[in-house]
Amino acid sequence: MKKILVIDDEQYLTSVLYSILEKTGLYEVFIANDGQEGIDLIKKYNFDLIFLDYIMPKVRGDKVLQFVREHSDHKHIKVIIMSGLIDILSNDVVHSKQCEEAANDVSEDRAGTPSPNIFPIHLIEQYGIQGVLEKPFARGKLLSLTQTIFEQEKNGKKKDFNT
Amino acid sequence: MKFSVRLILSVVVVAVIVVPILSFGVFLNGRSILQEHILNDQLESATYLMDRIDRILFRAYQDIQVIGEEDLFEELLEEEKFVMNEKMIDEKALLTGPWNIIFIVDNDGIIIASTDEKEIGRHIAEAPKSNIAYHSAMMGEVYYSDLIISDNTSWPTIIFAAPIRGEKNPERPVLGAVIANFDWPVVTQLLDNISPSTHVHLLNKDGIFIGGRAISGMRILETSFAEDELVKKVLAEKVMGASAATTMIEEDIPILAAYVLQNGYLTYRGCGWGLLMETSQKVAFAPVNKMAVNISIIVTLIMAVLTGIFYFIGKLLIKPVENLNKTVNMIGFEDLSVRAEVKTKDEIGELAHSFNQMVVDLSISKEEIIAAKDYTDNIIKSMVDTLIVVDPEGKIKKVNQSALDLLGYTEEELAERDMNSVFTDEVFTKTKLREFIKEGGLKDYETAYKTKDGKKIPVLLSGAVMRDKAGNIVSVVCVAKDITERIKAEEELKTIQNQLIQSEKMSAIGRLSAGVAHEIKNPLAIIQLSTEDLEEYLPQKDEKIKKSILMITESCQRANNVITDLLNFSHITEMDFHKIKLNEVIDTSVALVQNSARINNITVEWNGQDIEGIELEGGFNLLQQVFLNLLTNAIDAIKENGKITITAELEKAYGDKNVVVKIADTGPGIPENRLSRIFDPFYTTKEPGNGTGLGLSMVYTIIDKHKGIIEAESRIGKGTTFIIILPVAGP
Repeated sequence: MKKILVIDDEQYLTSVLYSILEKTGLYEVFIANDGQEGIDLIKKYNFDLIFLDYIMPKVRGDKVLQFVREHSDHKHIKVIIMSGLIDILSNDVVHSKQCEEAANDVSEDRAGTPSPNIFPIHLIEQYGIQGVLEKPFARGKLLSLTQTIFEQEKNGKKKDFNT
Repeated sequence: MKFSVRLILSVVVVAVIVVPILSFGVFLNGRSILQEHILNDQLESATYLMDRIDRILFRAYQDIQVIGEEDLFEELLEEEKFVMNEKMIDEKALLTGPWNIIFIVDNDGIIIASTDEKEIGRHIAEAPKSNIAYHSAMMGEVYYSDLIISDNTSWPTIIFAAPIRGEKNPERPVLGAVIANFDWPVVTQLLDNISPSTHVHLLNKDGIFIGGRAISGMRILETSFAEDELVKKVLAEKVMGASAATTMIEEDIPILAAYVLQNGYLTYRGCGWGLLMETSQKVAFAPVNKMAVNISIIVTLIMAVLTGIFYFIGKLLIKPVENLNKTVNMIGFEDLSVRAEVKTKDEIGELAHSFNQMVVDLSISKEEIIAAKDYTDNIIKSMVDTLIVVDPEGKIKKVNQSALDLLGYTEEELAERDMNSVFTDEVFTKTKLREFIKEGGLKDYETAYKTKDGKKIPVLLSGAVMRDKAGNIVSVVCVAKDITERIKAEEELKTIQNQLIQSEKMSAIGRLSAGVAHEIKNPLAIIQLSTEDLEEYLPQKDEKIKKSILMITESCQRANNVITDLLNFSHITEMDFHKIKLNEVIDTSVALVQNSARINNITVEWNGQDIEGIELEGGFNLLQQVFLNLLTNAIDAIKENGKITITAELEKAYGDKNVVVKIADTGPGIPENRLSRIFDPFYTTKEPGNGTGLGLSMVYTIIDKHKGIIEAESRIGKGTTFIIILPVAGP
């Protein structure tokens, strides 16, 4: 059985994602509500797929990405990014300067409010991300994307992702 | 010349007035003295004459006594037979008296001897006047009468009588009397001897003429002088020897009169006669008058000579002053180089010297004044701001070049014109001018000037009131700065500020959105997924359940759309801008709404000729979104039956070229209080579910990203016009 790790600071979300994924009976699901917690789990277990929320307080998604990709042990792990803020310009995939700036904008937070970060598309290339899910997404989408990624792996192809 | 004339005139006038007055005074004085003198003289003469008469009569008085004491006559009377030798009596008559008749009368009253033979033998009583004398003498008195007309001779005479006494007899009885008629002409002869210019009248105690000059023609004992003032006066005094002298006018002739009363002499006491001496003043003063005439002539001559002398002296004295005057006259403000000659060391010289000094000072002052005036003139001339000076009644007095340039007038055209031709604030000119004057000044008052063409130019006006020494207002000085540029700049600034505020709103929203979006998306995701998860626990076939889940899903999506739209306009980027043809953008936009418009009977008018070929730097789709949005809004506003007019033209401003596009609809219009908010995000007047209200804010942001400006103008009932200004792409 494939091991899936869901990392998101929203407890309710991880809870419902756990529920949905577990119910398929296909996957063993682990949850982390914190980037660091996620990293600890990655160290501990051998995951096949990580659902990663990009914008999290304390340790942002890309830190986790870094960790995953920089360690040869975990390089192979598939990643699906979940984000509320993805650079969106209809059908244009654009390298947005603004997004980059926003992405680098970490420090000016108001207390308690998550920093307004936006997932920059170019990270897909950079970190070899298999999929991107824009919140809110439907259950169906979630499940089909997961299935597709595992099938691709099985087929040995790396398909371009679909959001 | 005037001074010299004045000088001469003064001298002459003084001479002409003073000298005659003096002379006259002297003359009068002299005359008065002379008069005194003459009067006194006259009086003395009269007195002397009177005295002489008295003496003569006294001698007669004595003589009669002597005759009375003649032995001859004594003997005659005693011895009646003694025959008198007539010659002897005649002798006596001549040697004494003088008598013109002598009587020897005995004590019977018979004339026993006489110088007139005819009388011998007659009774003395036949001559009543002589009779009185006789009786008096017979009493032993020596008698003399007043002047009378003799009974015997019919001539005026004085009867003297003396008693003839018998000396042999110790009792000395009166034997008879000697009666003699005084030869009056002797006296009158005396009177004749007075100078012919003097009238002499001998008057008796009643003021009757008894003797005088033969020529006078007066009749003795007939003419009366009793009414004569002088006579009356003196007679009133009744004092013997009293006299008075005076000036009188007798029969219109001024005379000097003297009147002396008989004083008698020794035993002769007279009869209270008076001697009136009169001299015509003309005669009396003749010498004085003559002298006066002579003096006048001499004085006149002297004055003429003096006048001549003074004239020349005057001229001489005046000459330096004249020269100075000439020099002074040559001085004008224009020519201050003249100097007076200083010839003399006297006051005139000093004056000339002082004058020269003054001219020098004046020269210096003049230069200073000119310099100062040039300085201020230059200031006024080179002033950038306009200067207009008006008098308190509002008439324009002076204008500087800047004002003429600004207003388009010439100096002549504005001189003396009423300020209303230039100042536009009616209130300002009538009321405010007075207020302004009262307060003494005005600072930075925003108003407008009117040019010759009637154009209004906004100005910033400052003014001050100028007063003279007495504090009266002389003029009002108005300095006005053309603030057209400033106002333009202010308006532009306002526009930019508005834009900025709008942008701020946008970016605030934008910035806010990033955080908010995240906070919304997560819950949305949870709702979505949890709901779907729930489905597992609910009966599969229940339609209601299926519907509910569908509604939840769709709502989540809807919410997500809002977030997406919100995020969209934060993320427009100029990186994807190319050169695009604006008229193509509008063409396609119009085409897309054509159907929708036609259905609602709305005409869309668009002619892209004016901007044919004009290119902008921007995003085609983005701009299309803009026009679609605006057109759609217009159609929605009109609803049915209306017109949308799109115009586009080139505008040149500050060297850059812009395209100005206007989209006007015939809708109901937007009220003013809403107009300022239409570009605000989420501002919509549509019902919920009908549009997110993000359309216009999106439009605004897109235009802003294209470095353009969008504004809305609207009038209730007339419609709305959106104005878009976009910069043309560089070459």
